[in-house]
Amino acid sequence: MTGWFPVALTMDVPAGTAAPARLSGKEIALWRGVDGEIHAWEDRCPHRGMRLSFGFVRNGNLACLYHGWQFGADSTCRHIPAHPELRVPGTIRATAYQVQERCGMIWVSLDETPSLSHLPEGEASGVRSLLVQVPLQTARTSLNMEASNWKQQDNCLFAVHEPAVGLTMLHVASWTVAGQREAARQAVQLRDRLEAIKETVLA
Amino acid sequence: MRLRDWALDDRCYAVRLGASLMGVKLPTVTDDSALESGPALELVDDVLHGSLDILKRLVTLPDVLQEWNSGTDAMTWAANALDSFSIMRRTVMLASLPVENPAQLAMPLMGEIEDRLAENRLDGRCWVSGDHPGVADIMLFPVVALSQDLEVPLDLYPAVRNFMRHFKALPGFITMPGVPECH
Ligand code: FES
Repeated sequence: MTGWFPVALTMDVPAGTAAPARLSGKEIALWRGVDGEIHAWEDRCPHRGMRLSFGFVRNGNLACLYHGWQFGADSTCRHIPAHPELRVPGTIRATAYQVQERCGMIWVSLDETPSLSHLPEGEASGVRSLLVQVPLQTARTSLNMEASNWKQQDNCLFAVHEPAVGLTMLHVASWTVAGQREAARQAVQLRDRLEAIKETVLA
Repeated sequence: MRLRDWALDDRCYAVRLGASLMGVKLPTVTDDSALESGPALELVDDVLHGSLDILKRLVTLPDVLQEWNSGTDAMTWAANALDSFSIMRRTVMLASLPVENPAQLAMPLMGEIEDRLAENRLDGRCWVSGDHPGVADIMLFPVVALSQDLEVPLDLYPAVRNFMRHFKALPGFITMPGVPECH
């Protein structure tokens, strides 16, 4: 899977918090230090595999909920509470992915050195994300997204990702405060229409 | 005044949570009938049944801030959400065989809650009850926090996560088994 994928809105991972995301079933822990920097890691603690997105941010580190191992912004383990004296070997680290914030959204890439040229530009802010229970391709087709996973329309940005097969998350951002409600309304309308079509087909 | 309580019941938790947030000391007595029929509040000459009526009564106590009140619509909506969630959760947790894909049961309800919270957020309001959390929010919290018992993936519901984060930061917040502490 190559390219950038919008996995959440910037406003949904405030400073000092962690949140879960999925990309085609791959579990990702998003977290933001109190310095505002965003991180996207594999959602799996190197110790015993606990989900890091259940963790909490302490002293600029992400601490695992299970035994409290702390991982720094560079994803290396900095502190093991059961062995406070130990200088933790640098090989113990979480798996970090490439992450960018653009237009009020958090974009993740699983490529090692992805090009930034396919990301939208500008100062939009997030409106809301919503689940659409249809396959990603169905959502992209009805949004006329062609090869991309985002589309700018008037003063709004619509972007989609697939948390798991058969599900789409639709993320909405707007360049103007006044446009937020209308953008949210359009997104809800689209979701209701697509899900109703699916119901009819299944019936 | 004391509560007939069952520690693992979501509706009983709503009442204990509400009492704690409102600063009401509420002695409890474990009563396994609460597992079936929910919490009951023993008063001097009366017994009140159900989370909604009990929470509404707590708000009338002299030392409780009136702000804990919610509009009737919001309260009815949240009470219905808690009732239907509670039935689903008991069905799943008391089933003799594991229920396949329990999240599917709760997702329509979670979607409805997410929509309402997302709309509130666009209005700059964090709570279902308005600018101050109220009885409706207290009844909603067990639904979203215990949705994990039905394996609902919370990455799909960001406004719900936002609500939970704010709720857990309220002074007097208490947990129950299955609801992680705030950090
Ligand atoms: S599993 Fe994360 S610290 Fe043990």
